[in-house]
Amino acid sequence: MMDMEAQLERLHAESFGWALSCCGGERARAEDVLQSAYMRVIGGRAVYGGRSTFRTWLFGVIRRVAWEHNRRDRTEQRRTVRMEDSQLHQVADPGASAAEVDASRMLTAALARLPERQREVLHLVFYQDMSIAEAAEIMGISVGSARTHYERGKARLRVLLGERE
Amino acid sequence: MSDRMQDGELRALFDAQRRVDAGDMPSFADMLASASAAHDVGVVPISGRHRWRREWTGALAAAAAVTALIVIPRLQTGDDEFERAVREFETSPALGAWQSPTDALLRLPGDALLSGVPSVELESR
Repeated sequence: MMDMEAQLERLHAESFGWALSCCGGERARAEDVLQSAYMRVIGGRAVYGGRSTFRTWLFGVIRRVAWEHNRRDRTEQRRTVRMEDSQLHQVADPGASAAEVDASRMLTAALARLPERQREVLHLVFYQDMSIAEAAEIMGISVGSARTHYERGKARLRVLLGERE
Repeated sequence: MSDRMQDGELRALFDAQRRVDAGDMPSFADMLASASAAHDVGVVPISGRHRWRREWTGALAAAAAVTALIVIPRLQTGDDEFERAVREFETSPALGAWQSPTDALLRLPGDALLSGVPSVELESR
């Protein structure tokens, strides 16, 4: 159990970033998702089978939990799927510069306009420094599909960021 | 601008996002503690969908119980009535001796031979 907690703690920052991405940048929701994912892992409801790296497996669990939360919220119609910039709650890190905060906001807003798969693969590759194959495994799609989402997402993101500049 | 340069710019944006995200990140210990507390107290919120499912399950169970209360006594009553009629038929001499008025039409000459076993007396030969 302690070993599992130690692994979760080691990946906490990355997991939080992934949860944020899965929740479209909503911090409170990301915390709920991550908390639920941790409970599943520690409570034994999600069992690591060793078929992939622990990080890949954990990201898959977080993605699954986020998907369940998002589906529930869509059903309840409590939240809109697409968020406006004003809804994105970002608190600046004391260590982050104002330029970084602006860049982050701009990127989050642009990512929110991408299809889910494109947003996911771009986050996993650029934010988490994963390979496209690892991203494909987490997303449960083939490497070819992931590559297509990656290329299309990248091209679209460039256009969206160019519009804002 | 080359594709690689653009990738580098994108990566820089994501790096900035990572640093900003880390700013308000709850600590692992806090998150685990609140998760454990929620689990211990049992305050895991019931989602609307689960609540809806639970209400429908309750309603269906209640409907099934009401149906069972109505149908089962009727089935038992039907069985009871049949059993009572059979018992009455067996015990009542009047009902047991009753014969249809048209039974006589079914009687044919030689019925006694077909229904009985003839005895053959060898000594009479």
